[in-house]
Amino acid sequence: MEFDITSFYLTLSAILFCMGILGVMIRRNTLVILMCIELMLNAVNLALVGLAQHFGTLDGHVYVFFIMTVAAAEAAVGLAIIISVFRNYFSVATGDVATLRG
Amino acid sequence: MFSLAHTNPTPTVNQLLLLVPLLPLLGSAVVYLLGSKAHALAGWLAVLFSAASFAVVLQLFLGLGDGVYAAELWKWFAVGDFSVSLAFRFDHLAAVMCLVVTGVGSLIHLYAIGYMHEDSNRPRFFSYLNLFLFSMLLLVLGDNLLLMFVGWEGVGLCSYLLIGFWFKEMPNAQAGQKAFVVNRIGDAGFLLGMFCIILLSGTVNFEELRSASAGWSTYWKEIIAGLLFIGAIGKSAQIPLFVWLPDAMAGPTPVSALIHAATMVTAGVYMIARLSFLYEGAPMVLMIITVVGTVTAFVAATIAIVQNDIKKVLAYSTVSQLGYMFMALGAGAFSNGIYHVVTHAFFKACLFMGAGSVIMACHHEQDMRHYGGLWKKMPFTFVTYLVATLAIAGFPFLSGFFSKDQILWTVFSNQGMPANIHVWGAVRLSHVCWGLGLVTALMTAFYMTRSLAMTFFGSYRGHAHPHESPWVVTLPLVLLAIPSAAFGYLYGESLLHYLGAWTRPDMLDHDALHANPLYHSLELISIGVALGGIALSLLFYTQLTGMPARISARLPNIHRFLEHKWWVDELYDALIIRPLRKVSDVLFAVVDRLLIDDALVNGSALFVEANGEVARKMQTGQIRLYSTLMFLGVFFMIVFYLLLRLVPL
Repeated sequence: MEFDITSFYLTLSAILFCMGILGVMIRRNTLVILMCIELMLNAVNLALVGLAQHFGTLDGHVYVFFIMTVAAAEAAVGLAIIISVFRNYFSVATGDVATLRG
Repeated sequence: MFSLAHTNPTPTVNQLLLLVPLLPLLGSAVVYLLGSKAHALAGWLAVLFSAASFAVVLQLFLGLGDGVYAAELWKWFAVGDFSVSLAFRFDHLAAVMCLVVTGVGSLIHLYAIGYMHEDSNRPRFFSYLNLFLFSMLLLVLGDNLLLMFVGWEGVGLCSYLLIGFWFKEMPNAQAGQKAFVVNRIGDAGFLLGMFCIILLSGTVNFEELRSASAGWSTYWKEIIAGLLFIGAIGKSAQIPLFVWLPDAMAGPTPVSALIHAATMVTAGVYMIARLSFLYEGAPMVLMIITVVGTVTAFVAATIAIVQNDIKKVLAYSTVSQLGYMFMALGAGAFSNGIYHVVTHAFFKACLFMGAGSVIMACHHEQDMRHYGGLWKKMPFTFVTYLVATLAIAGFPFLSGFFSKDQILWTVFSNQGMPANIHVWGAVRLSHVCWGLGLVTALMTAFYMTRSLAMTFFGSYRGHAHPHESPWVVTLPLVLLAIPSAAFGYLYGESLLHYLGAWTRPDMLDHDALHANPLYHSLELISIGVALGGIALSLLFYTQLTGMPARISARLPNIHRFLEHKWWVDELYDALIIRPLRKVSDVLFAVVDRLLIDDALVNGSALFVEANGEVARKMQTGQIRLYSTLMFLGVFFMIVFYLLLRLVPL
């Protein structure tokens, strides 16, 4: 049987992504949720890099650079929002911030 | 003789032509914007602008010769092959109308300074008056039917604004509304006629229509001419749409003189004369026009006999005289119709302004029973009113005599017209119309002399202290009394020839008609009728003053019938207005309340609200729930997508 490293990359990526999803769905702390989102983004990055290597093209690498840049910006904005939320609600737990419920 | 050769107008002449309508428009804007800053000045500014417009018209008229001036501002719009220009056209017909509109209009502006000098809304009044002049000039000068319609609606709007000028009084506001609504019925006919024309020829330009209409079948010509005539009926207050004009007397007297006597109401006559090439080919419609005109002239005159309000007498007299104009048009004598428009503008404007002068002197009393003996106190008003009365009554060699006599003669000798149906034995329809016209002439002489006698003769029966009006009022009176007397004698024939060069389709050869020996006998009959009416009226209202009351007591039904204006308003109320109200009530209750308000508007709101009640439960404010739902959604989308790939449909 031929050893294909790409399948390992993809499996790892899927596991990381699912962990991110579960974290977003389960955890209450907004900071952790933000971290889980980062995890999902990096899982996708991993899949992109792995596939880029598999196909021997540069596209995936380029994507990854963009995603990293955007993720950095997102983290900055997200943290700023969290700080702002904390200032108003004295909590960063999702259950406490539900002013928009119908 | 008849030529369409353009005189190749130089740019200067073009610009001059544009000035004619634009000056009053500018005046209207200036007077309105200055507003309360120029109370005393407003009237003089308005006079200045309208007189300037008159001066330009005069300049153009003197240089016109046998040609035509044309000026195009810009192409208004183009839809497919159909395009309309904002262009003006100054030919013989337009020249005559423009001279009347701006000339008589300027005099009435001047008069209004005196009449309105106590009113606090003078700037608004004079702004509207100038705006009216602009619209009327647009109507007259427009080189296509659509531009004419713009002016047509514009004068209607100004008429509405000015009838209801003193809008704080309910009847005035209602009279304005009535005029507007009744005119709307006519305008619908005008619009439909215009649509038919566009459908058939794809153009509304008068010159193009002249050649295009030659190819239409008589059937279409009759339909179009008939529809446009409905428009003329509304605007020119003919039966059955004449009811708005007497009510329009609610407006200030200068408005009655300018709009509801001299200019606007003659727009229908002008329109038919302008489209004479079309009406020439529509014999049935011409016959209808003759009959409508005759009946209107007759009915309105009978009503005028018993009115006591001096302005109402003049209003019905106007309707009656407009009927004469339509008789002329129906007989194919288009230039005769315009001739009567011109002379009527002179004497009727003079009469209205004379009445206004009397009304002012008697502290806004309009009932002639409270006048009397004013000739000594108001000599200028008396003399001018006398001249104008004699002119409209057809006193020999005054202008009304010439124009009315021409009309009666053309109606009588209506050769080549289909109106020559035999009514009874050798009597033709045209003879019946002539007879009614003659009776109307008798009544005209009678009721006009009656108003003269009740106002100026005898002894004063009111409580005011009448005195002669200031010079701004009497000067226009004198300036209008002169042409009322002399215009027909001096310029009548030349006016007919001048117009004949343009309204070639005058189906009547005037010179041949006048050579007919019958002409002079009929002329003598007319003179006899006019003098008889005047004499009878003088006898009744100065000598045998008890006579009119005794006659009306002897014939109470007829008197009441006439006093209530043939019950026309009541008839319309019962036949049209009240059923319409009932239908509206039902529509309001069922369609508006139930269907639109309840079912559609409130119903849709209720539907959205009920659904929202259900959907809001999903909005918990818990991010975890939102994210879970989102992930599930994406998950199922991916599953669905994969299934599609795996199981190709």
